[in-house]
Amino acid sequence: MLGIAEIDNYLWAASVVAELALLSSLIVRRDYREYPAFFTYILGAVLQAVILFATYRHWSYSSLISWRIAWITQISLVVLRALVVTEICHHLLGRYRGVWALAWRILLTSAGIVLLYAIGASGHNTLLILTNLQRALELAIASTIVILFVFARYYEIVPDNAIRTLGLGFLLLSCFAVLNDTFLERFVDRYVPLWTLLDLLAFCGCVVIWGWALRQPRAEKVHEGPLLSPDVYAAFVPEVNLRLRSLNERLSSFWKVEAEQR
Amino acid sequence: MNVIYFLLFIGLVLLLLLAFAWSLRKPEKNKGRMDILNAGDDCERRHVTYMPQVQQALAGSDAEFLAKRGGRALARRVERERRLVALAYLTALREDFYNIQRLAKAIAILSPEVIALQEFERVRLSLEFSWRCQMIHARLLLGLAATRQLSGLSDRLSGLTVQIEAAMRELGERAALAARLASSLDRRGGDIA
Repeated sequence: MLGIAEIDNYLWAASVVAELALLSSLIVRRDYREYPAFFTYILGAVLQAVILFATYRHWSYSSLISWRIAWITQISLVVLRALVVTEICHHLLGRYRGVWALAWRILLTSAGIVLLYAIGASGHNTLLILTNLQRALELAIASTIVILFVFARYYEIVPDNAIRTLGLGFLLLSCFAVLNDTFLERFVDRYVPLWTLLDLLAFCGCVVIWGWALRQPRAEKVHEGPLLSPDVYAAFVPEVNLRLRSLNERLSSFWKVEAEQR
Repeated sequence: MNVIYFLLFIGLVLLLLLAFAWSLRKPEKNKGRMDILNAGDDCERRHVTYMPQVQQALAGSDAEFLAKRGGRALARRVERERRLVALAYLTALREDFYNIQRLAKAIAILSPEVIALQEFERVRLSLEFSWRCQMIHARLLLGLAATRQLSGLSDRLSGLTVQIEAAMRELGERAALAARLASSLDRRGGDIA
């Protein structure tokens, strides 16, 4: 029967094969022009595998230098993933100039708040400091994706299938990483062998999801169309809000009168 | 790790997944989209135009008159039926409200710059409106709501509709351009629901 370490090795090999297949698909379909950050991320994941393979062969799996290199490459990869999420945000909202200007500020602020909160809420185990940092980054990425799609839903902007599936893949990967790191922090010793295994499994699953996303027929690219004059917004929207506010105030006063009468 | 933080992180992840699933739901009604595009010339068919009839049906004096002349059983039956009418009317008013709101969103999408305060204000107002409508809806269902609340809501919405129509006329070509652009974006790959 296979041990966890052997399964890890097989999964690692499988994930590298999946990454290479995805990378080839990106090159063949010329998707790297549409998704340069995503292409760089997958390329980074392949490079990480190569670097780690060489590192483990040269210094052994349990050496301090291997541990350092592994974490440096891992955090770099998470940062690259954050760039991919920025790319997804821009694909979804970029062509709506006014809304995009508002959205990126909201997304950046909320990601910053979540990041700081997650760092603050983490335990103070120095051994797990990098795990906690990674979890905070993952949580910020996940919340950015969710806020982006909620924002799009509010403005009734329907994402095309590729963007939706890519977003889903990144969200699942980040959510899984948060859960995995949280369980690791709680059940350190018992959970360590499973941590890598589950991490690899989740990554393989997400590579399949991304591959699926890019196989979907691509929606015709819509460039930024002619926009309305800023006067239209300035004349119309404050007026709507004013009337909505007065409607709400009226309802509120009715509510108070009703409450007082009873 | 503290149990509370452990549960907090798990809860956060669940919350994010739920919010994402919610965001991917299809818009409830495509009918609303058509209302946006026809906002300028569709005003004759708005629900608020039926306000006087509904107000008449909900009038307290009517109920008293019925109770005196037709007996309690008839009055109760009529009241029940009128309450159903009021509920349907409330739903229709809400539809009107959201159509107007959608128009504001469509304009925001097509504007080169939007004012954050105005956008946040509209989110807050629509949450408030939803909450109050839900409350009135619940009270109507329980037979507790005074019909005055509903007619007050109608008055305001009617006023709002008149203002919006005036603004739309004033904007003329520009608003028509907004509708045409939204429509063309819709046809070219369905970016805006």
